Amino acid sequence: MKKSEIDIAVSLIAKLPALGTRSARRIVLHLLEHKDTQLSSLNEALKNLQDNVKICPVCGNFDTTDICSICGNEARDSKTLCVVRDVSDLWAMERAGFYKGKYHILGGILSAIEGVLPEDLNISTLKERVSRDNVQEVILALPATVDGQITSQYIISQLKPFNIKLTTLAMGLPVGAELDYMDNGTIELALQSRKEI
Amino acid sequence: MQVSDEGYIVNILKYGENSLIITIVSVGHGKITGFVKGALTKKKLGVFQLGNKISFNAYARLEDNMPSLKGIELLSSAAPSVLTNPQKLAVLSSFCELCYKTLPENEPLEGLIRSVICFMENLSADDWLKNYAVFEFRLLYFLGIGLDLGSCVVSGRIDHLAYVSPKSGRAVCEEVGRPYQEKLFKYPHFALHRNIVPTLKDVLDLLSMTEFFLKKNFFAVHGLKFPQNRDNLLKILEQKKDENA
Repeated sequence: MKKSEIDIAVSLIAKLPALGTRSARRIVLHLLEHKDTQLSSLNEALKNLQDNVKICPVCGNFDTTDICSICGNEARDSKTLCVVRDVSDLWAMERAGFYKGKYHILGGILSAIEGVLPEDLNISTLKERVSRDNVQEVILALPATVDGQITSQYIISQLKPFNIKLTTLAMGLPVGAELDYMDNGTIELALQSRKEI
Repeated sequence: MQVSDEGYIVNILKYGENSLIITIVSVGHGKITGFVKGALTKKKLGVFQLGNKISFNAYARLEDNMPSLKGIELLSSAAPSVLTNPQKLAVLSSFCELCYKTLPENEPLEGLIRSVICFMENLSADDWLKNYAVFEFRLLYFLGIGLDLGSCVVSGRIDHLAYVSPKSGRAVCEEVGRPYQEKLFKYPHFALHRNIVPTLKDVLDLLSMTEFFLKKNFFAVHGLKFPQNRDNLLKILEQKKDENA
């Protein structure tokens, strides 16, 4: 049986993250009810996304320019690179607004069970960047999980010959946390990396 | 199926937006793979990490169904001991992948669980690497690749055993094995006698032997790829040996 246009739209929207068929139906209904205002502007925005947004060949970020606005920003410190897992992690770092260096997006983390190998990640391009751009510090901002730290260790082994400063993010208590609610592992890590004040 | 047990998380797969399928090596019921609904919340992030010890209730309507895991509580976390140490990280990931790929589902791990507990409970101790090597050695027996290390395969002697034959998996005494020592594995005295303290080279010798027999008698037989993390482990430990030298 041929699907109607509405069913096709519902099934496509239901495939998006955090949405199911019920939410997709509500979204489609809402868009149809506001066809002239929201549907047309959404349609235009999606088309612009497809036509204009590119992947930055330097860091892997999304932007409308060939070289993304972060890589092309001369005011940012090009001697410091922050290695993140994906674009959402880059956005999180940018939201914090503290870091003024440049980024390198790995495109995932190593996982033997899921079959993610070093050649599947942007590690060779990272090595090229480090040697080409005279980078002096690489900050590994990868997840504080076993797979995340294995990836960090692999990158460290690959970057050791360049004789540069390699750092990782601190592990411990998040801001606003109460000790009572923390798991033992986090408390132990926080204690291990305590600092003198 | 309805069990309450505790065990160590050896694999985590994301399922949907905020659920997980995790594999646990449990103390009383062997390897259990189950579904955890709504596991990916900020509060529970620290709980579902490789190597963590948890208590859980597993329930499935039929024996063949994947159980749903509920009432999960974190008993101890492996992260503090391993996350800042590259060798321990490599050992833990190798342990998890080996358990995930070799152990049967829902079958008690008699004879092996003691070495699993000994390894996991002593990650902060000095002999963590020895415990891991002993775990792999016991794993061979558990998988039915038992080595016959009681007497020399040629002379029948029960003393001065120094080598293991890769062909037969049996012990060889010093006198008989000396001319062929390049082709034989070192006899793993420390795996059989707990009071012997091995050197890093002894541990590497045992790991080379377990790797050989696991590849030949398990992974090749079942047409499986040898675990990537286990492959990396030996390279990382060899590097450490070179640095120490």
